[in-house]
Amino acid sequence: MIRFYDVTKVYPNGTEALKTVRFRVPEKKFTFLTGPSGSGKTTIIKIVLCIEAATSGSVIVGGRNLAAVRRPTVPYLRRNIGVIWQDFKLLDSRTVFDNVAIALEILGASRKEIQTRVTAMLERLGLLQYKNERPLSLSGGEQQRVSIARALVNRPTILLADEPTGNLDPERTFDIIRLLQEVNEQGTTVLVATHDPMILEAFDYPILSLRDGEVTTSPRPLAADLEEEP
Amino acid sequence: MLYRALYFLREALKNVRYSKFPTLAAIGTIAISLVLLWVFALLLRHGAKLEQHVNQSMAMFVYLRSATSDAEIKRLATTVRSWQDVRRVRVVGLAEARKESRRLLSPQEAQGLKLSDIPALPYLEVHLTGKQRTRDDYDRIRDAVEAIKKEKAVHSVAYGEREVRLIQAALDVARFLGWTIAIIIAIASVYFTFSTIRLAVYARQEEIEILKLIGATNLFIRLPFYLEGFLQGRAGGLGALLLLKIVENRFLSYLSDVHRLSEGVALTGLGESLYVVGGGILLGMLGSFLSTRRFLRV
Ligand SMILES: Nc1ncnc2c1ncn2[C@@H]1O[C@H](COP(=O)(O)OP(=O)(O)OP(=O)(O)O)[C@@H](O)[C@H]1O
Ligand SMILES: [Mg+2]
Repeated sequence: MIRFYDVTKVYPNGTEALKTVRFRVPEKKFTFLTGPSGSGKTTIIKIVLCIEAATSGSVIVGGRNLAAVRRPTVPYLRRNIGVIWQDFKLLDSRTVFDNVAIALEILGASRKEIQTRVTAMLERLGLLQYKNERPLSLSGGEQQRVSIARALVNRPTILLADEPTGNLDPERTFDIIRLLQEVNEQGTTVLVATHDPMILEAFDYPILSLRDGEVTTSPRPLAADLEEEP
Repeated sequence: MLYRALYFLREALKNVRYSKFPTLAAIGTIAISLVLLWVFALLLRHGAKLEQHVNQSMAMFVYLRSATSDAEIKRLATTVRSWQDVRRVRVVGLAEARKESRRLLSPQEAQGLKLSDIPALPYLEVHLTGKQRTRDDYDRIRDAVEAIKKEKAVHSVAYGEREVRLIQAALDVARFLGWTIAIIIAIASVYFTFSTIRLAVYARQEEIEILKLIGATNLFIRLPFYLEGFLQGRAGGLGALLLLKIVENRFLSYLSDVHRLSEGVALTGLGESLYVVGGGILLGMLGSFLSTRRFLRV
């Protein structure tokens, strides 16, 4: 579960990215996060991941108040959160296989386990034939799937996706969302940031809508627990 | 376990690929600084021996007037023996001193001379202890010498103090310069490793960012860089060992051919080799530790 309670975020240059934001992403549910460019979607993802700290208010992720998390424990927190980044963040100095394997290397997984789990994940995403290629030699959609494979390979409890369908054609877009749906059905909390109205139209999940750093009345209001006091 | 070790090793070696020339320079300076440190350590050891030797062979001659009675000579000898820095006192009476002087004359010169005609003074041959002396020691000896000079029976005192002090001063200067140079070069070698690893950190900035985002711990991110410092230091240490072997061969033959010396510059023992390689590892690790602390903030 992710809960933001009266969170504000002011960047050092004075930009007010979030203004008293209050919402809740229920556990094991699928939620959309939408809003125009600059409304604060990526900021929310960065706060959940402890890349940025909230200026005020409290953020609770998986039962932990992030204000109380000490720096050395941040890596362990991040391991439970898979992230699909807007710009993929893949390493061209490594093969597709190694890009996915790195998420298991950092956990100290054995060679055998890495071999089987990465192979299975690449197969599931239809990437097995590219396992020895460098990411930059793949198409945008394929790179997107490599970043999804890396986010999923260590079975995180939370999956955050920042514009995962950013530059895909409609058919691939639906494929990706269906894949995330599948992941959610297996018990992962999924939060997808998107400003693609077609997706919001096609999938019937709660929508958290932002505008200028504030939660607005969404076209399809979230469950009542969104307004619930902590 | 082995797989993990191999992972870090592979990452460390990747770093070398980003900066071949700086890596070589770092290894080279580590090797040179170790060689210099080692040579200075040897010189110091031999310098200390030389100093002790000079001190030990240092003698003082207390010449007495020819009319001094045996009882008086004995009394003065006892006084001198009681000095803290004296190891041994040999008493040379007038008759013996004359015999010694006659030995210095050529047979023609000695011809027809009676022993009592030969000019000579009885004297005390004073041998000092071999310990290293401080300024206080020298002051004390000088005070004692001044005191004994005031005795009526004492004619003069010959004492090669100045020469010994000169040797000591020369050794002190050599020691100071040696350490200064060695330390400067050691610092330079740490700096070379430091900047090589900084280059690797910069080259891998993007990768480090991503590793952080997916939850890698500080240690996981830093370990390849520590390992790189370790490998550089070890390579420098092995290089120094090789250089020292060459120096040793050349130097020993120089010492025996030119100076007819067979001083041990020994670098044969396994223990000593380990010191050299260990020293290299220490320098390399220090460089990588400082560099990751400064440039790899996680
Ligand atoms: N590091 C930063 N420093 C200063 N301002 C920032 C920083 N990151 C984001 N901002 C500002 O904060 C606001 C919210 O940015 P954010 O990236 O969260 O928006 P977004 O909803 O993800 O937009 P997009 O849809 O374009 O990705 C914007 O006005 C942006 O310029
Ligand atoms: Mg964004």
